[in-house]
Amino acid sequence: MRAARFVVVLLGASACSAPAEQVPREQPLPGVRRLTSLELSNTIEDVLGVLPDLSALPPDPKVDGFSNTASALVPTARRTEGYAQVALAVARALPSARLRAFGATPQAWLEAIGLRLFRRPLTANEASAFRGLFEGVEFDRGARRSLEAMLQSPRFLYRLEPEAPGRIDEFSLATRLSYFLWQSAPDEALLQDAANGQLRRRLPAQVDRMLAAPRARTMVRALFDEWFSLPAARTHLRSSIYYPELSPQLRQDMYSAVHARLQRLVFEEDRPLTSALTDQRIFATGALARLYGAEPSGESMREYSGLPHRAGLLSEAAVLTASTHGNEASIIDRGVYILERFLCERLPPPPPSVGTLAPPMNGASQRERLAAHRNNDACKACHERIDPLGFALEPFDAIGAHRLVDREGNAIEVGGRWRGQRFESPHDFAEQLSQARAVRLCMVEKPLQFALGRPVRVEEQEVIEALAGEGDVRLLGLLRSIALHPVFVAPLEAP
Amino acid sequence: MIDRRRFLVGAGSVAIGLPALWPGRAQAKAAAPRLVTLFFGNGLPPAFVTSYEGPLSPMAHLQDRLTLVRGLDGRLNETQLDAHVAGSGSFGVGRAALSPDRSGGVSLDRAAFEAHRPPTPLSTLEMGLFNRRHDQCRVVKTWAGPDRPNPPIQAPYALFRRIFGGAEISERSVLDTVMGQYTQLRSKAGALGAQSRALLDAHLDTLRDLERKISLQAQAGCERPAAPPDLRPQVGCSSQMGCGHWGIEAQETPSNWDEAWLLNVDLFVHALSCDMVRYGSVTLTGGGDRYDLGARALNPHELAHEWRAHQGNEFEDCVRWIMEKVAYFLDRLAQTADPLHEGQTLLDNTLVLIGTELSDPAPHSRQDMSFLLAGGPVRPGRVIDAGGRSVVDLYSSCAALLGVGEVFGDPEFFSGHLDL
Repeated sequence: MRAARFVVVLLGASACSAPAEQVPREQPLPGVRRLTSLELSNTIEDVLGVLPDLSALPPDPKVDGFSNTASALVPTARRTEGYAQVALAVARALPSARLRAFGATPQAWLEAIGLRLFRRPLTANEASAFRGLFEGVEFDRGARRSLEAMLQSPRFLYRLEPEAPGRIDEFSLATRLSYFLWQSAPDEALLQDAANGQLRRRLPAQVDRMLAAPRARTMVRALFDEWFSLPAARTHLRSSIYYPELSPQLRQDMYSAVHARLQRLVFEEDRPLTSALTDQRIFATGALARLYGAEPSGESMREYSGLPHRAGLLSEAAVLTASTHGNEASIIDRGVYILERFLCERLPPPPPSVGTLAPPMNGASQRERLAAHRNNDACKACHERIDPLGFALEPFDAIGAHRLVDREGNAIEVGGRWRGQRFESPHDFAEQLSQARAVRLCMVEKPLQFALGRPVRVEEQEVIEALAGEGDVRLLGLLRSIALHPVFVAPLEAP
Repeated sequence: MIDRRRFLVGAGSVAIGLPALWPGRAQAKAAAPRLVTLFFGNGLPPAFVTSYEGPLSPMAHLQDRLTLVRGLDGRLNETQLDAHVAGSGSFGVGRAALSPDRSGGVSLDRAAFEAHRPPTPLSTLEMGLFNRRHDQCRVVKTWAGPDRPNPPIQAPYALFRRIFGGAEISERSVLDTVMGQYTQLRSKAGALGAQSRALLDAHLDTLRDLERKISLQAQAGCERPAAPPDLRPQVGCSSQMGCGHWGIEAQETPSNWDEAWLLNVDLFVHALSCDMVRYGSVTLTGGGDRYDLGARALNPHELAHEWRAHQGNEFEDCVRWIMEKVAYFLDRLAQTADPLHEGQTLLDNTLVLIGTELSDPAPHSRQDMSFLLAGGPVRPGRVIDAGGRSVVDLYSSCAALLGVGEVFGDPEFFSGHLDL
C-alpha cells in the first residue's frame, strides 16, 4: 500500500511536465516598476526609521523565477487597500521627533521628506497639493496627513521614468542603482550627486561605496533567495511521519546555513561563484550536522569541513529540500531545478495530452520507472535533458540526508553520465558542473535578470558573454559591472 | 480549537431576521442575479459525474438545485501553455490565457460588475482556500483585464479585513490628494510612456474601488461581525488533512483548512447577505495544485494523474473532499435570506458556476469537461449534455442570464446558447 502511494509521488511531476517557471514569457519592457514588498519595507525603514508591518499586502507574485519581475507587479484592489493601511499605520506610528526632523515648516518639511520618498525633488504641483493637507491644522497633524498621502503616491510606490530617448536623468539613475544594489531607496549621498549632476561621473565610486554598505548584504540575500528558491526549504511540504526530525527550527537552520556559506563566499572571501558548487566547508547547527550524519561539535551554527558526501551547494540541505516537492526526492524536480537554476535553460511545457505512464510496478526504482519517459518519443526530448541531472542527487533524500536505499528498498545507483562524461558521485558531478561554460554564463544571467527586473532577452546574450568574460565570475565584481553596464543605465524604449 | 460560534454568531440569525439595510436599498427588486464562480483544481473525470453517488455524493442532497453540464470542450487557442495553466486561465474568462500570468481578458464576475455597477462597497470579492503555485492563472479567477488579476484571499482574518475593514484612511482629504497625484501624473502628456500610463490608470481604478468602499461602507446598515481568529501562520493540523508541516510561504494559507473554509464561506455569505458585494470568485484549490493531504502523504495532483491506473484510489477521496466544501458553500447560500428579494434565499438569486481546469486528468484532457451550476436563474435539477460544444457557449449562456451580453469569451468558439 505504501509502495503504491509512493509510485504516485515519484512519477508525480508527470510525464514531461515541468513547473511553469520555465515557460518563456513575453518580454515586456519595464517602463515602470512597482516597489516589491522587500523594497517597500526597506525604503520605509531607511527613510523613516520604522519597520512597517506589511501583512496587509498580498505577496508579490514570482514570475520568470523572480518576484521583482516588473510585468507582474500590477495593482489590485486589495493591494491598494493594503497600501492605505500601511500608510496610515506608518504615519501614526512615527514619533514626533522623527517626524519633525525633516523640517520645521510645511515647505521645508515637504522638500526634505519628498526628496527621500520620491527619490527626486517634488514638483511645484505636488508640493502645493501636499501643502493643502497642512491647512487649518497644527503642523504635526498636517505632516502625518501628508506622509500618509505620500506613501500612497505613484512617485513613491512606483519607479516611474520618462520614456524619452537619450540618457536617463540622474535621479532615475540613483533610483535604479539603489533598488538594485540595496533593494532600497537612494540615500542622501546618491541624491546629492544626482542633484549636482555628478552621479554619472562618480558612478564607479558610488557603486563601490554601495557594495560595501550593509544593505548590499540584504540585496545578496534576496538575490540568492530568488535564484535558488531558498525560502522553499522552510515551506515545501513534507510528511511528519516520514521526516519526524524536520522541525521548523531545523528548516530555519538549513536556510541560515546556506546563506552563511554564500555571504562568506561573496563578502568575506570574494571567491568565484562556481566555487559555491564545490567548496567542502559547510555551516551547520547541531541538528543539521546530525542530519548530515556527522557528530556535532556543538548545537550552535559553526563551520564543518570535509563531512562525508558534503561539498557545495548541491549537497546543502536547504537546496536539496527546496529542489523537490513531496516526500520522495523527485529526480524530475531536481533535474528541472538544476537545468533552470544552474544552466538557465527553459523547458517547453509538456506536449498536449501527455499523461502519465502505464501503471508502475510496486517496488521498481525511480530510475527504472523513468526509463519509460525516455523511451517515449513525446517525452524524450525533455527527459533526456532532465533526468541525468536528477540522477546526480539521488543519494540524497527529500530533506537532504544521505541514503543508500530508496523507500522501496532498492539500492541507490550512484553516479551517471552528463554531457558524455561519467560522474561517480554527487561531488564529482558538482565538479563537472562547476567547469561548464553554460553554468558560468547562467551565473551572470540570473544576477542580470535580477538587476533588470525582467528576463534577459535573446539579443542580450552578448551582454552575458561580455560580462562573463573568460575568467572566474565573482559576484561583487559582476554586480559592479552590471551597474556600470549600458544595458543597466539604458533609457527606456518607447513601445 | 476555534469556536466558530463566537464569531459570526449573527450569520444564521441574519438569515432569518433579514439584515437591516439602509433606506433605498429595498427598491432594488429587479436587481440582476449575483454571480459567484467557484474553481477547484486537478480535474473532474467524466466517470465521476455519472451520478450523485461516488465523488459527487456530498452534493446529493442538493441535486434538485443543481444542473450538471457535461461534454463541453474546454480547449481554446492556447499555445505553449501547460494544460493545467491553460484550463485554469480560461476558467470564467472563455478566452485563451496569454501567458501563465496573464488571462485572455476580463472574467465573467468582473464583467457582470461592470455591466451593472451596483451600489455595493466592494466591486468583486475573491476568496480562496489554499494554493501553492506561483502562476496567476492557476489561482486567480477574477480578472479586470489580462494584466489585472485579483488574487483570492485565503486567510479568514485577511478576508474579514477586506470585507468589513480595510477602508482605513485618516481623512477624505488624504484620499483626494492621493487620487489627484495619479490623475495629474496621468494627464501629463508625453512625460510618461504608454505602459506607465496604463499602470497609473489601473491603479486609479483600484483607488476608485477604495473610494467606493469608504463611501458605501459607512452607509451599510449591516452589522459587522466580530473578527475571526487569525489562523494564518502555524504548523497546520486538521482532522482531514492530518498534521504536516506548513511553513512561512503559507503565511496566507490557513493552517487548519477545514476550519478556515467554514470561516471563509461564512464571511463570503455574510458579505452577500449584507449586500456588500454581488460578484466574486472562489478558488478552492489552484489548477495543478500540489497539496499534501497531511500525514497520509497523498497529493491530489499526483493522484489525479494516476487515478486511472489505480481505480478507486484516493483521488476520489480528494474530489469528495472538494465536493463537501462546495456543498457547504451552497448550503449556506440556501439557508441565508436574500436582502434584495423578500422571502427568498441568496441561492435563489445567485448563480454559482462550479468547475475545474481538466476533465480526465490522466491524459490532461480538456475535452468532455463538466461544470455544475446552481442557483440564480438556472433551471435546476437537470443534466445537460453539450455534445462537445465549447465552454464559450456555457459562459455566453451564463452571461445572457446575468444581463452581461450575448457572447462571452472568444467569439470564434461561440456556437449558440445552451438551454440553461
